[in-house]
Amino acid sequence: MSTLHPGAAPATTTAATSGAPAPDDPAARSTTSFFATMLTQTLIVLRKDLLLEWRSRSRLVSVVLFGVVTLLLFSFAVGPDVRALREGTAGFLVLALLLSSTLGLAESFRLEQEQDAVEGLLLLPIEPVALFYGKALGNTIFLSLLAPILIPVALVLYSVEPAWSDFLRLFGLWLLTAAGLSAPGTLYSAMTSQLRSQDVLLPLLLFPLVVPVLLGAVKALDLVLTGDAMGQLGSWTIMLLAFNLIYWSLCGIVFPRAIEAS
Amino acid sequence: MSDAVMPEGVIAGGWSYVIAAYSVTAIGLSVYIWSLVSRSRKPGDES
Amino acid sequence: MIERLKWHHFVGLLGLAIVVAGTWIGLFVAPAERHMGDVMRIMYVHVPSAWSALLCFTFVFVAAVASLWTSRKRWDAYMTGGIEVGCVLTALLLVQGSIWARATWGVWWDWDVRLTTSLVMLLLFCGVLALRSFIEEANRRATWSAIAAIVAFVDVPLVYFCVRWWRSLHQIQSSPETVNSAMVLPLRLNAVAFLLIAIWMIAIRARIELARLQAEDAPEPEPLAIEER
Repeated sequence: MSTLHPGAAPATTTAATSGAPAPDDPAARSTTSFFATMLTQTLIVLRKDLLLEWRSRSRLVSVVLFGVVTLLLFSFAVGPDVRALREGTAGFLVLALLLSSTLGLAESFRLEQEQDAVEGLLLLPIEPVALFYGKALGNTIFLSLLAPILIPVALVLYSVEPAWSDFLRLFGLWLLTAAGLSAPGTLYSAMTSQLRSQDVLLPLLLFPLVVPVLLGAVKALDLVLTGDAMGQLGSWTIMLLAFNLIYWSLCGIVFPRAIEAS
Repeated sequence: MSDAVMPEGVIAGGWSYVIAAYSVTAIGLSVYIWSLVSRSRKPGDES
Repeated sequence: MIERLKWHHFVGLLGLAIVVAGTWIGLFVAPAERHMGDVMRIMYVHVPSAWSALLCFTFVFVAAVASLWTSRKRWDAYMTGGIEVGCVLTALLLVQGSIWARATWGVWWDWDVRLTTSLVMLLLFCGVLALRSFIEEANRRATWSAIAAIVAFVDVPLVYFCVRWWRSLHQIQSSPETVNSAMVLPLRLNAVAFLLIAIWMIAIRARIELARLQAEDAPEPEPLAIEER
């Protein structure tokens, strides 16, 4: 990883953040300390983003409201047919998350864009990879915060009554979906935030890309909501996990190049 | 021909579909190649 | 530079000649298929389109990695050419597939694995072209579109896998018919021809892009020089 961006020497960053290891450590220890540094830096970025988010809670509230509005609109689109609504609940939920996610993701780099804050971030001894994972984790947390509102609203609007034990599963799947959207979403948000037409480009690039995540999430949520007769929930969940693994590693690998070019 | 094996499986008179598919492909490729040629002429005989 | 790229016209003419022969054999010489009848003849243009489109996007992936690695404009231009030609071929592929679906299944669209994956693939790479058109700074455009192309290429197998799982709940994908030996010749001819034509188009498109990229660098100082006088 460090070969990708030799400009930021790991030794100086280590000294700056955790302070413990000397630069002339053996190679084995330096790799572990490298990962420890990455983790620390990721958490620093995450903490900064969450703090900023917490200080202006209005954004979260408005994105949640947007999600509720989309859920409402879906029921108008399908009509007052309770059965059709019930069957489509999983799909509507995931679509509401997807549509809300573009609002949240687009915002995550706009803050850095104002007054060239991203330049300042890059001047800090923070690895671009850590910047990516911090931002992506922040976006995942932001999107999972929609679940406590959107899931109950959807269940009430579409009159679905899952068992109480299913709520944990619903939330877990929501978390996986949010993570699957966040990794490519953060990458594309970093690239499109500096362009004139981010509002168009981000969904245009992101939506086809996350088709596997959407498909897996809809299937898995549907199995939870309408019953899992053939025991397929496990395999869909594993598939979602695998997609997450691929997206998080791939986007993490290419992100440093993307941010260097900005 | 060979109608004895699966009488209901044979699709008869599919030529209009075949012609449609081939002409769409031919027209599509021609238009694209024409656009390429016109674009390569445009930028004033580049260096 | 032009001399070095001249070969592509020979490739293109060769491809055109072969495609005429292959299509002639496919339409008028090869026998009708047992179940699908004459509709099967769409295959002789459909399958080559699919193969060449996939090869185009594979080439795009290679060019994108090379462009990221070397930061050379030539690779950026080749990548753009590959994406555009691949998108054209995929769009044609979808229209042919839709016509074929109408003839055999009675519907214009079926959520078949390959059809769906092709559509997503087309949208992914059109997105890369759109991203490209909005970035003005050349260096950044090359890097970002290469990254978007790599991510899109990696995504295509995921989509295929996922849609296959999704569909497998409804029906099991019927295995394709074993191809009659009389049908192999036009298929092979057209496959080679489409590949050659795709190479030709990529070469022309890359040449246009390269000229544009060089023109981007060149004419900037001229108005300044005139103003200073």
